[in-house]
Amino acid sequence: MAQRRRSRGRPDQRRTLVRDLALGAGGLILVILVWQLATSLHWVSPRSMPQPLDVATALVRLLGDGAFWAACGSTIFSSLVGIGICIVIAVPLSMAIHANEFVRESTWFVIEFLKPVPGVAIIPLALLLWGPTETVKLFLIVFGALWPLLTQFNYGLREVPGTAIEMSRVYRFTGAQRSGRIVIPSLMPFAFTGLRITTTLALIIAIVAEYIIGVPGIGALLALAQTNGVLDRMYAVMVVAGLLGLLFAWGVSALSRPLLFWHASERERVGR
Amino acid sequence: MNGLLRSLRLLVLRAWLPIGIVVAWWLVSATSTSFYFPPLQEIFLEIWNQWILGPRLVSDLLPSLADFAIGFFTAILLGTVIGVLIGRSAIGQATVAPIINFFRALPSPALVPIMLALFGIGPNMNIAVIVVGAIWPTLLNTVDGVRALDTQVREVTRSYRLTRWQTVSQVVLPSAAPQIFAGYRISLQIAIILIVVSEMVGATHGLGYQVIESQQLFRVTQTWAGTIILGVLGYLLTSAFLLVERRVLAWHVRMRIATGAG
Amino acid sequence: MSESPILELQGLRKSYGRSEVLADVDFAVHRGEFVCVVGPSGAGKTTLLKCIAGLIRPSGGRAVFEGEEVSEPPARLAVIFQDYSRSLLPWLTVEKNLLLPLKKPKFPRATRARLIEESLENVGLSGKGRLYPWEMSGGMQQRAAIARGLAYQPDVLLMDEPFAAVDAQTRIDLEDLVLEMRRRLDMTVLFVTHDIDEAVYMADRVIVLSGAPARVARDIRVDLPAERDQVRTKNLARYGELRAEVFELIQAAKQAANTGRIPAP
Repeated sequence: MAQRRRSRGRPDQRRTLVRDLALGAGGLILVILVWQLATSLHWVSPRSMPQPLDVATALVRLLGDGAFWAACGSTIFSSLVGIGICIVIAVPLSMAIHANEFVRESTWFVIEFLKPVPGVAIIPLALLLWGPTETVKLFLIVFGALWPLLTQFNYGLREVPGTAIEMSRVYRFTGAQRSGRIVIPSLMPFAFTGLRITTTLALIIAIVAEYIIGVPGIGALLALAQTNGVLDRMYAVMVVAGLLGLLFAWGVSALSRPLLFWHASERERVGR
Repeated sequence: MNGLLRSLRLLVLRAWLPIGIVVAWWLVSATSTSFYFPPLQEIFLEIWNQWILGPRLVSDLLPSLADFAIGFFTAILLGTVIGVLIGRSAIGQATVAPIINFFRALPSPALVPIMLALFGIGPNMNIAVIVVGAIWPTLLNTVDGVRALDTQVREVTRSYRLTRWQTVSQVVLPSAAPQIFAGYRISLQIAIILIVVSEMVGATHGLGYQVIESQQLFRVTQTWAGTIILGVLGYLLTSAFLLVERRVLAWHVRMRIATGAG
Repeated sequence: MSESPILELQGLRKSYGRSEVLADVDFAVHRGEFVCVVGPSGAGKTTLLKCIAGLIRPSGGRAVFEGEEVSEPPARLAVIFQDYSRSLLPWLTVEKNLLLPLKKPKFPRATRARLIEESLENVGLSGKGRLYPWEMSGGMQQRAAIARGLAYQPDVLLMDEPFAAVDAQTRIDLEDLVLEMRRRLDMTVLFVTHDIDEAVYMADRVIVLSGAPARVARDIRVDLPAERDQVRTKNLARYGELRAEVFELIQAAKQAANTGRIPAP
């Protein structure tokens, strides 16, 4: 979440940071307390919602379970591979599309149409046609996450500042110089926005595919816990899923920092 | 005349490939004997007879849309209202920040088993999971948008002694509107994913339910039909939203063009 | 004039943490006066204005407006800010911008339209009410901001370096506009600026602030003819003298800020 920029000097900044951290921790504690109350006082049936302590214990038990780590690895691995394939396809494809007006306009509708299609909607069809395999899961991830990324790349290519290109002509940059020095850096902000969206989608599709199809992964763990009625483990896996989401989001941010330090949005975030 | 010609040319350029793909698919599949790739004609007939003119319109399609709408609009309404309340208070924002950030990062379908345990199978669960899953992007963006209110604008509203209601409705919300709508867009995406997933997993009727059931019963044509409808609906809902967004934010779009802002 | 001042600052002080921005500012403004406040950059002029406008709480002393201590923005005071692009709301037309502060019981519905029309006329923007602020030039936007202040029917107009962000030509037009407006509507104006020429040209009195922490270095009565003209007034010998006096005070204030001494009043 964005923090208001403070312009009043270091001690003030630090005090505000400490205060915010304390408040945040307090908020978390409050939520857990209410949760505990809800279960203890039976506002919610204990068969529908486990107690916080039980979930914490289940979480700890999970961390000691080899099968859990294997499942985690499977989800993370498929997501990363899926994202990688998306990038590998999207980069040359977007350049090819951008190069030629005919291609650009011809493919416009196909991309616009596929972009909002929820990747999860394809799951039953894919399951029907190709069965419950890892490859199908990977295909689903790529199919679901590719189009938003492609769209962002297309935006980026369109927005490469005209003046910068003209400047490069005046100073007679070579094609490679132009790509490397102007096009690619200008693309970066769009690429990272696209990457953020793609990462989120990839993780979602991976988990849903695992849940419905049953291929190994966090989603499968969820399904298993649910079928067996082990509520506290189900909640614990959900917490893990949330942590995975945070991990991926953090990963994209960390990557973007060295590459986007110059961009206005990044400068604002850092407060310069 | 020139403008009209140019628009026509653009239309043809954009239409030939999609139409070509459909036609090619139709022709190639017409002679198909493959079990898994039935003729496109049959699929269209299935859609027409069952979903558009047929019983499924009332028994599955409309209820799904209704559940989706209730869930989505509740999510964005709650998200906006709570977001404004939190955003106006620095303390409130710091307190809920970790919670909101966690749930924003959480892959929303992970909430489905939880909601199933709480609500059981049925439309209540579908709606609940959309509300709980789709509220976060709206909430987050509303808080950010409200907190980003220009200090000078704030000073202007104070110096002219605007009432709290005036400040929120006439100044804070319009100022934050671009960011809030960006949040709505993501909430929409999540809501669509969630209605599909929750109906596939925890419903007795509905679009998602029909598609997964068709798959389980190996009814190939029906699965194709349901999937295509899902895709088309996703496209239509998103397009409708973008149209509304463009209307509401017309001033913003024109301003950025006029001032040449990036 | 034994009438009590419409605005009075009594020992006004403002500190942020350990840095003191305003130290014991004391002066009064009488009804109908045009008072300019000048000082070196960073002297706290804007802070002073915000204290008077009730946007900031002073650390000590007080601002008294129409007999009452200022604790929140007073109803009969309007502020014109420097950055018009951020003070006019971009999602409203000029008309709607002017209307917004008028949506109060103090302004009955029937009179609102008339007030807006008159104010636009007073600033030379008749007929431009339907435009959006960003569809107009900088000078026109600032006029709109002034019109908004006028429509509010304040007793005192506070202006915070309002012409700093416009080009020189526009500034000249706006200066004369404000003078004309003030004459016609008999307004009381407190005008903050860093531009010495502008201050002496426009004011009945010039208050020179010292550097931070700011105090009143001198309160100068501008004894130029009431009819101001960009060419004739600025050619008068007296104009040059006053300008030089202010200039030297500010230079001294800047130096004192560097060496830590405060110049004698």
